[in-house]
Amino acid sequence: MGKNLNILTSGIIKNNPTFVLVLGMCPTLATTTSALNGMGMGAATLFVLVLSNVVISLIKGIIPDKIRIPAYIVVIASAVTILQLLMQAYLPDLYNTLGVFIPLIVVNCIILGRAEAFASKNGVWASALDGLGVGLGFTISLTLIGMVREVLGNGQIFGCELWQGGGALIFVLAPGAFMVLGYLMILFRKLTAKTK
Amino acid sequence: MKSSLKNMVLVLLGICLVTSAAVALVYDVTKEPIEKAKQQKTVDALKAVLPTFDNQPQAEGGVYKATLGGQTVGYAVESTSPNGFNGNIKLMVGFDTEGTIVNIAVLEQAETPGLGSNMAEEDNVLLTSFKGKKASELKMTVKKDGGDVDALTAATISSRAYAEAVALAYEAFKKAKEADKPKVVIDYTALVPEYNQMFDGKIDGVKVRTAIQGASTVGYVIEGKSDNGYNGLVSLVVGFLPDGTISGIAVAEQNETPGLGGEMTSADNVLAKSLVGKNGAKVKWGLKKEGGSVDALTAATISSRAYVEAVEAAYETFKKVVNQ
Repeated sequence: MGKNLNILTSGIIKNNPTFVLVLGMCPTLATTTSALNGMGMGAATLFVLVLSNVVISLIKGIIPDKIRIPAYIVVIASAVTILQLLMQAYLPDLYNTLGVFIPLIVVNCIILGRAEAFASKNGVWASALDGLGVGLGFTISLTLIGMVREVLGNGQIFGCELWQGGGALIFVLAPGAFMVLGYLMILFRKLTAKTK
Repeated sequence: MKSSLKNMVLVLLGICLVTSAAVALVYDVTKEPIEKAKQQKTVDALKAVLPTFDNQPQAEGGVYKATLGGQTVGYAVESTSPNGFNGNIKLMVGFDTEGTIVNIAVLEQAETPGLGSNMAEEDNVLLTSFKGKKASELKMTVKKDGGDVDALTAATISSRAYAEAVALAYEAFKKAKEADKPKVVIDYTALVPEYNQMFDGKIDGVKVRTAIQGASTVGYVIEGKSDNGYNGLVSLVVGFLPDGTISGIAVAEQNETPGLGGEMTSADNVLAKSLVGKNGAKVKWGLKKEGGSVDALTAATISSRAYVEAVEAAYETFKKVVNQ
């Protein structure tokens, strides 16, 4: 149990994909204009991550080494397509907001990274937990960035107005994404350094 | 696992087969809900932008026609401008039958949140500069470009694209309304005596049809127009006998008030009655209350005047035809 918990928390803290590994920056910067968008993007990535990790750990024994990357990509692309169809059917609004970044999960390096670094070497259960952990880490990071940007930029949080008159629009625009990401990264490093 | 050509081909093929089967399965399951979600979005938008209606509007080239009890009450037009700040802006614009913009719904946009994306908010300045306005009286460009539209703060490009989409929608609306107008088919045989041949001709740009029976001309059908109707153009076709007697009048186009000026289209209305059978040379062109010899329609003096003007114009053309 201790080992499993370790796998789960490592994705959230020690190997946090956004603040520590700094992977998948493109969707991180682009979709975190609000807390809800960031959370939606994180959850979508989590779904693909768990699904592809499980499938890849199941078939790792039969994949010849030379074609392992194409094989992973096929699995990941299918998982993304499935997610895309499900979102269109049941969450059309969120799907429209996230737009092109949903199909772009295919090329998110977190997912291929976890497939190559973890799922291809570990069992199904551990891989699922790893996917869940890293996915949660990504979701939490994106939601945090989205929250900060939404509060500072629009004076809202999860769509609820905190104060009248909005905020500094720069935080909703691209420069704000870099600034918030940078400062949150500093904060995260400082906090995790202490707990070590 | 060691790679060989055989196992690489087989494994990759196998993976592709299994995953595509999984995708196909999900596609099948989600096909209906996706369709439903899309339709629901359209229906919601239609309800938001149209006056009350009771039919299920179907798209015809992006135009939805709404009816209430069989009567057309408005049109909703889907239009897209590709010139948004972040790609396409797709709107649903609702018009009533008079061309007044009832409401506008944003179907698709990816503008900057907090700036251009405010176009989707309730009662934003963009929307209010269109809502309830008559489209024909509105210059659909932003104020910066000399138009009547208030732009969103710090989102001129988005606002321009929005205005462009509304203008496109208005064009489509005009076309749809034009296409819906009942086509007037004029029965020329009712305007002139029996003939076995009719020749089309033109004099000074006015259409003149000559009816011929055997070797002799039995009559002429001549267009007459007046722009002075209560709602613009009144266009008639008038039949003349060779001696100048008006043998029949039909209305080709008019937009007069239904029940008042619009009565000019009904058979045996007082206007036609006081003109048909008279010789053009003996008619005193004008309404009775203005010293002429023509009875006016009740409560439609302006429409009646235009009608008389149009018949007179046709008679002037007739004189040119005969003098040739």
